[in-house]
Amino acid sequence: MRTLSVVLVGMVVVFASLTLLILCIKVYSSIIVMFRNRKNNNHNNSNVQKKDIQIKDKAETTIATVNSESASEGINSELIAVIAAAIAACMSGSGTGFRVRSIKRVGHTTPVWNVAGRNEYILSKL
Amino acid sequence: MWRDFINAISAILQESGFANMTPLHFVMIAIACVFLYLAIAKKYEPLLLVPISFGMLAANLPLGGLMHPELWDTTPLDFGAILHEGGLFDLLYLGVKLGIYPPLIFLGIGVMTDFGPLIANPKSLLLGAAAQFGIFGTYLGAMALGRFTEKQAASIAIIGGADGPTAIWLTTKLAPELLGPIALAAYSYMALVPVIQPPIMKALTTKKERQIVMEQLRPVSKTEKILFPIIVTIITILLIPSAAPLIAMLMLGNLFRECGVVERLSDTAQNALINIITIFLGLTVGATASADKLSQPGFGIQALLIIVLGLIAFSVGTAAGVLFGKLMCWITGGKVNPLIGSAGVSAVPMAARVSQKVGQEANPQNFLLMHAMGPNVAGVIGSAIAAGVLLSMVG
Repeated sequence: MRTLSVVLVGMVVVFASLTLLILCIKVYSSIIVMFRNRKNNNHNNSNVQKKDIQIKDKAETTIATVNSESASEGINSELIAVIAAAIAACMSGSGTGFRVRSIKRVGHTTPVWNVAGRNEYILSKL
Repeated sequence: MWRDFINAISAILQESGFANMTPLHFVMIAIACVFLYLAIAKKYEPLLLVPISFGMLAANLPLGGLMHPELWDTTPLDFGAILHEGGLFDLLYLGVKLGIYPPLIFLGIGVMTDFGPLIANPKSLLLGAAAQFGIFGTYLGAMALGRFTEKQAASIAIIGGADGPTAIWLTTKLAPELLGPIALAAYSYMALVPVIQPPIMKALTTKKERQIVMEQLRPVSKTEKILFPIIVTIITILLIPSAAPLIAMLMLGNLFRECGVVERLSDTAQNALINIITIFLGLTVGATASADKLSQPGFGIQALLIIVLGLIAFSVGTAAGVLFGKLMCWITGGKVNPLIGSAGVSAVPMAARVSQKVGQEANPQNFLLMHAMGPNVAGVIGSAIAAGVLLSMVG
């Protein structure tokens, strides 16, 4: 009887505490997201009218440029997506608010030892 | 003079370990060598098994004076005797006995853990809770066998939490006489997670369920990640004060990582500190497995039962997590892949990798790793809470 009560009480307490944690996480996360959205809205409202049209045009031109460039220079559009994703991951925050305008391959200026060290570091993470 | 020389040599020989070996010492040394082989050649959790097995080996060479089990059997402990008569391992074992090392290891684990996937999908905490049924189910089984006291059963049951420091912390407080076999069983099974889990996961899920692709997790802001350890500490310790040492250190480590203003402390905690404590902990835990314990009647059977119960604990925990995952899948209308439920056992990140692997076998385009990390790290919190509950109910 005592054993069963330990098991029952134990599971109930574990579930109850973690459920309470879930509620608290959801509450504070939604508060933070609400504050962030309010801040973004205030920032956008001041510039919305003028920039809207410009941004849309710019976005279309950028996409068009990227498409034509990638076709002419042979850069895979999947590679562009991966590079943009890597930049977004490195930047703190949600990774929005930037636009990739051009991607150029840089010449091999890194010393060989640095390249070897970099490869070793990457391999150690895999 | 010749006679004096012979007498001196025979006195030295009589004081040597060879003259004082008993058959039990041979057995313990052999067991230590087997575990050394498993750790080095088969790479079973070498970071812990190498110091544990070597501690067992060194402490069981007679007359070495490294460890004196009789100093630790008195209640209350005679600290004066320990300091005066204790050997090297006795003094290092103070960190285990006083409950210092496991929370410090949790500090390092907290620095190395990213709670982002959990914050993005807080429901994973429920999967972490479900997997702790392995602990309580094993407690039931151990008590049903009738060979263990409540405290011993609780210490054996915590193996199901798949959390080495938690198992050592609870066993030191409840059943220190079983510390050696429990620590060995806990770390051996943690190494066997990729072998134990997949058959259970495949048996309890359909192929269609294993192929479910989950929605991408929302990005989590830095503020949320910084607030998480603070809020978890306050709520969990207010609810279950006995879990305070483990939870506080785990969350402190995570705060070091996320706040970004204590790089040096974060670096020390996850590198130098955790390595030092691992060496001391492993060495002294292994040293407690002494030959005179084997001579106690029934200890061999107890050790065997601990190994079997440990396997049951892991298996039941995995099964409970997967079944709860299936329940969540049904409730959410197929949005949750049940495979991530098995990651609720807190073997981070091995259990999450196993979920990823089994998911990819069913659907090569499926990447469950980050989704499985949520329940995986939730399991660490869950097993610390379960240990606190067991300590307050049974201790």
